[in-house]
Amino acid sequence: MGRYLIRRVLQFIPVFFGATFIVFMMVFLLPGDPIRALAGERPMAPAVQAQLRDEYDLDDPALIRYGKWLGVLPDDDPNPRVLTEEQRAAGVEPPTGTFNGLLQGNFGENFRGDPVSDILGRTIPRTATLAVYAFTFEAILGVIAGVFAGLRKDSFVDNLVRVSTIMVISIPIFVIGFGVQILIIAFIQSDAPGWLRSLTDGWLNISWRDPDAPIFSLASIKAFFIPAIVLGSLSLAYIARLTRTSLIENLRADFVRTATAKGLTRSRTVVRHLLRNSLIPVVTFLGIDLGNLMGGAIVTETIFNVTGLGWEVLNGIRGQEGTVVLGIITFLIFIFLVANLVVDILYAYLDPRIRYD
Amino acid sequence: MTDTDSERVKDKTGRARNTRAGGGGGSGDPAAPSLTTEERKRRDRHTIEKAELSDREIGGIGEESSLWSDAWDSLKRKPIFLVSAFLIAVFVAMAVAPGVFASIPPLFVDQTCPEGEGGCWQNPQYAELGRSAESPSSEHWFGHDVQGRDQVTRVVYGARNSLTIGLLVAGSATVIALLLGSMAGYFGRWADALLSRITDIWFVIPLLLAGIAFLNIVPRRGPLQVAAVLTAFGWASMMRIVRSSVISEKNQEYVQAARALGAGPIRIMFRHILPNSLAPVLVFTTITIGVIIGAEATLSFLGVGLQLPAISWGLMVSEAQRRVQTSPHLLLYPGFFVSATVFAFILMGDALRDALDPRLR
Repeated sequence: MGRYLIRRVLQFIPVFFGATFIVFMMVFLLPGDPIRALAGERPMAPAVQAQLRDEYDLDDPALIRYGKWLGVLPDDDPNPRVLTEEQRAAGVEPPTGTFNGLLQGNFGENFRGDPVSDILGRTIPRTATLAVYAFTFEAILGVIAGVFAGLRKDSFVDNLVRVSTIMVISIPIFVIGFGVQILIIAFIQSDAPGWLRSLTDGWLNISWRDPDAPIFSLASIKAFFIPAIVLGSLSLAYIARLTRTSLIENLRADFVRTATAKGLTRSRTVVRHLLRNSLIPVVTFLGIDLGNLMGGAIVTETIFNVTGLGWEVLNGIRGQEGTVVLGIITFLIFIFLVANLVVDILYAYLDPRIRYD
Repeated sequence: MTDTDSERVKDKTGRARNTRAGGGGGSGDPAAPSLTTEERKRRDRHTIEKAELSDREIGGIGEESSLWSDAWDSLKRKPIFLVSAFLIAVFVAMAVAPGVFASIPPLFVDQTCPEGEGGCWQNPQYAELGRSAESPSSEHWFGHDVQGRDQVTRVVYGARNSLTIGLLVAGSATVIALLLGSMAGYFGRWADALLSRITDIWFVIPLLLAGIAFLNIVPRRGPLQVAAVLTAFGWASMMRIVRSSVISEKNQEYVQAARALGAGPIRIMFRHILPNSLAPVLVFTTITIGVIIGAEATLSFLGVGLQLPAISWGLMVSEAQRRVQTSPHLLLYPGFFVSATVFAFILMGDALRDALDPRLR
């Protein structure tokens, strides 16, 4: 197990650098002159342009820029970050040639001079909140639907779950999002009874407000209720199908027959023996999905005006903010890799039959 | 994503047949039952007979054809397969001949040409601004879009771009995956290590994010450009499937036999291993077509896919989104069509998996 763990972590490293390199090159290719865009309508003195280009390293070869961004090559610009408050107050000149990149925890800054880490710090909690709600929703409902379908194979419930999940998988998330919006609008415009209206009051937000209420507070749950359902719907379908398949496979397993033969009640057999074993693949799927949800939120965030990571990525691309896009994608890749690693380790604990060499 | 979801179900006809041929053991449950020796013998005899029977018709491919002809036999009877095949046929017809499709009388009650030739409602670009966002009527079933064009025509013409991109991407990703996956799986050792690590790198870059970031650079985005970018970031999971499929095949006895007879690696790969590992690849390719059609619509919706005046379901939804409160029909019809197309391909993939999954036989 120890050796396996070390090998997995070592594999993680080249994959992370390779992926960020590809994304870096992609963003580096962004057309147009961001400095020009910064100046807008007014002409900018060539000297100023040259200095800005130098400050953002726009004229360096791509590989050198990647090295500087990563922090394995020294940055030739002055770096005020390494100074303490007192030094700054005393007017000490910032040193040049320090290593100042991702490995030092610096994501760079956008062309307005805001550090990308600030943007990440502001948007990650929102997307994470959305993802956690979506995750809770899909995990609970998905497993329940899968269990009911799996225990009564070929029953009405089973067929309902099978057909509805494949439909949810087929409908692109932006169609689901707008479909939900249309339904809510129709509900609001209809003459629904008063008690139904007061019951749903504040829950049917199709435009998002109250951005930074603490997670799991009522205000926050209300604000994210609809977007979280839309975001979680796809994985809900996968989880229901996975649970169902896994349950049906295990229903015929020897240990279930043994449990029944011992005279255990049906509910005890199902909960203590069948479910425990059937949920292993579901748990691993859920682990990977937490990483996917963060990245998959682009469309949901756009439709419901949630100003989180996905929204910021789209904005960054439209505004040619390469460093912002790069920072966010890097963060998402990191989360995805960590989620995969955790799932692999979790698997070993959940299923001792798996051997690692 | 879909490889984790190994849904394996038999429909009623399949089960009935199974019970008759193999005795109780099957009973159609997806948990592949362990066959008794007697059952296995009977099944093998059945396969051999079939292979001999069909040998003459298909030109003596013999052994290899049994999986596919068996699969075809069970597919023909499956309602899921028939429904999805019918839907796909309709969408392909729309893509190939939208003009013909767009003048079928029940769909086009209003066949008038207000401005003569080229100014008919059957022309997807013909617009009457006065009828902007008009609701569905008995003459124009799906209503008019914001520009006042007939939405039935627009939706029918939208099929071509979606299907072109879906088929192109799934096809080229499969070719890349077959090449890299079979090399990694067959040669193993350092070739496998290298190719697998490269695949890992591409695998962790999220398809949608990469599509957005990359397509934004491309100034003129037609179906070819969109397809190229989606292929570049969409082949990795397929390569993993090919690789594992080849690995499981390469230690089989027939491969050892071919090697003992002096066949070279290329011959073994293309004549022996690949044809036998195609089944899971085919299933995944079919599902990929659907997934890519959804991805194209999403990218076009976000404004980084196809560009106007191209006709695409995603673009139609994107144009309609500001009117969602007042004219939901602008959004519902293209949304429905893109969902139905994706649905057809995913359903087809499901049916193929049921028929081709050897664990079920």
